[in-house]
Amino acid sequence: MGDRKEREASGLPADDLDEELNRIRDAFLEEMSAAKQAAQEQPEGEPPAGAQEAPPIQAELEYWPESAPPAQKHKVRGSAVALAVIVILVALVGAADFVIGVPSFASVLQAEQFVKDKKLHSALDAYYDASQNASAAAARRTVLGQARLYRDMGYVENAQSLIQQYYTTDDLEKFPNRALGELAQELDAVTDTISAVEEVFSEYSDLEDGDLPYAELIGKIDALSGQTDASYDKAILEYYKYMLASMTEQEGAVRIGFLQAIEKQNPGYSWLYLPAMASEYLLEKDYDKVLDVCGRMREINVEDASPYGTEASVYRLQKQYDKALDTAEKGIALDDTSSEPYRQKAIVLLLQGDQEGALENAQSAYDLALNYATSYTLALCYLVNDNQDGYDEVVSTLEYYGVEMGQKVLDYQAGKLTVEDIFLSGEGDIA
Amino acid sequence: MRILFVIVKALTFPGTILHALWEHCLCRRFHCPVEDARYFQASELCGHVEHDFMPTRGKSFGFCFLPFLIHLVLGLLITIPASVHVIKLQQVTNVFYLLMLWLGISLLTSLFPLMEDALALWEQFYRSEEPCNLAVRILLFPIIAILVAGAWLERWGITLLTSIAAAWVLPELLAPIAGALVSVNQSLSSWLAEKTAELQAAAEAATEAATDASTTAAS
Repeated sequence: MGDRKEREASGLPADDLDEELNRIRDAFLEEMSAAKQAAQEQPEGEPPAGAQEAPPIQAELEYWPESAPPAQKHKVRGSAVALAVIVILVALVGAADFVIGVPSFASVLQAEQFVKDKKLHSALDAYYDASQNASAAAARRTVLGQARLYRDMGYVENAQSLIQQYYTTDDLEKFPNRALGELAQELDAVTDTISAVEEVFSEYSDLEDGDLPYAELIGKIDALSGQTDASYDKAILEYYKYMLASMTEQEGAVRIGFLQAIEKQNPGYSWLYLPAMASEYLLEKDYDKVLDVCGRMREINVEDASPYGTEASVYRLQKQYDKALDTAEKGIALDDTSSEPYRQKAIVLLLQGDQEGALENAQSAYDLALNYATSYTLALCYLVNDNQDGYDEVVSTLEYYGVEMGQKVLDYQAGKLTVEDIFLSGEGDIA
Repeated sequence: MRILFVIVKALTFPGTILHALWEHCLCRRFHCPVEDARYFQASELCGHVEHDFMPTRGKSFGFCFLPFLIHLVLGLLITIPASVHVIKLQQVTNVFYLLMLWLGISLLTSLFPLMEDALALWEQFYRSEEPCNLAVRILLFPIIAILVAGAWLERWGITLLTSIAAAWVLPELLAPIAGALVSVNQSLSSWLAEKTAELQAAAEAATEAATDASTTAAS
């Protein structure tokens, strides 16, 4: 603008905006009048008369003779044009990366949102999607989020191997990786604890579970927690005490006490103590507490169907079959890859006399997870349906794994127990 | 404050130089004489060219808006992916993405016209003795307001902070959109693949039927 240098020379303070605005406005009006006058003499968009013969810049100089400096000084700079070309090329690279890299980041964001929403299974899936892009998979934010998710769901070894895949021990000691380093230490403490306790137990490997010296082993586990040269996870040590108490058939209160100790030591290990607590309260027939624990499990992961299975068993033991069926179906609708809701539905249908429906659901549970509970339940359903071939097939599968058929199934086969005896009295379950 | 402005312009020199380049090109395109074409100088003209008055509203608007638009588009294309890698995915050791992020922030820091050009634009549209078309005034108001406000912010070097903030926030806002677009693309691709497979199967069945028919006819 024409008057800038005059105003700068007059020493106006730069921040005096109002005064400057007035000056600009005056200058603008003056220049506007001059420009209009010139524009009226010349059609808009065309250079002034006589400029056609001159090069464009020279024509402009003639058009604005009072202020225009020599044309050669105003050529566009080659270095600036080169910079512009580089920037456009980089922008093209950026656009390509937006299509490739940003969607993976979107999956990371989505996974983080799922974790906030307590949808842990969806979060796992979203992290899996993100890890399809090697760059996003190796990113610290992805590794940290995914490893924390694995830890919170109890997949400690997965979390460890994920960190080790992308970070060396030296990397983890660097300041920017401190959060990952702390997590790795925490996970190492868990595996170190497991190794230490297994070493203690290995001395008694020739003894049956019931013959284990309970007090002596508790003392040895306590000694581990007192060791100063190694950092063992005290919550995991409490879990081994619980395991020992279960193996040596200690009272329910003792077992629950150890589970409560785990919660006290590390409330984040809910994946470890809550399912066990639900089972213990179920054995104690403290159904209100079972339902309370199931509610807590759902709060931690709203996509976890296993609490529905446990809750269905409570209603079944209370002979509220419709409610039990409804709860089991809710669990199946939530996660049709979880076996326990199918198994509970099979048991309820068995008690209601729907033998074929029971067999179908028991088969689904068995197909989803091969364990004592699903195998014995399916075997019982085959017996109820008089399907000897199916029963034999289950027996041969168990034999393949070196497992014998459950005593309650054999008792049912021998006519010593009824379905009601198995599922409504005593422990209330088959395994 | 001029020192701060010049420091910001120096730190983000690619954006500074390019903005001046676009202004220079537009002055030539609009046949507007340039008084001072030094792209980089220790004054408030840093990143701009000193030029004479734009004779029409349209040219004045184009002169202020086009460099803004070019820098915005290029800046976002560079900043968002770079920010995703450096800030969001914390790949701070990747030099290429670090440079890309700096370049993108540089472009976003030099979006706006010189304060005087922005005010002249405002005057031409909203205070001129010859009133502009009402619809144009209403439609262009948000853009011109942004240009004036941005020019004021840039004068104080604040656009460096706003561009860093944009680099921080925009990926979070845009990444889900990109993810959704990719999902749509994947669904479309799988649907197309399915349809192609169906068509292939139908074609094979038709060929087999034709072969059988010809065999039967021959026998």
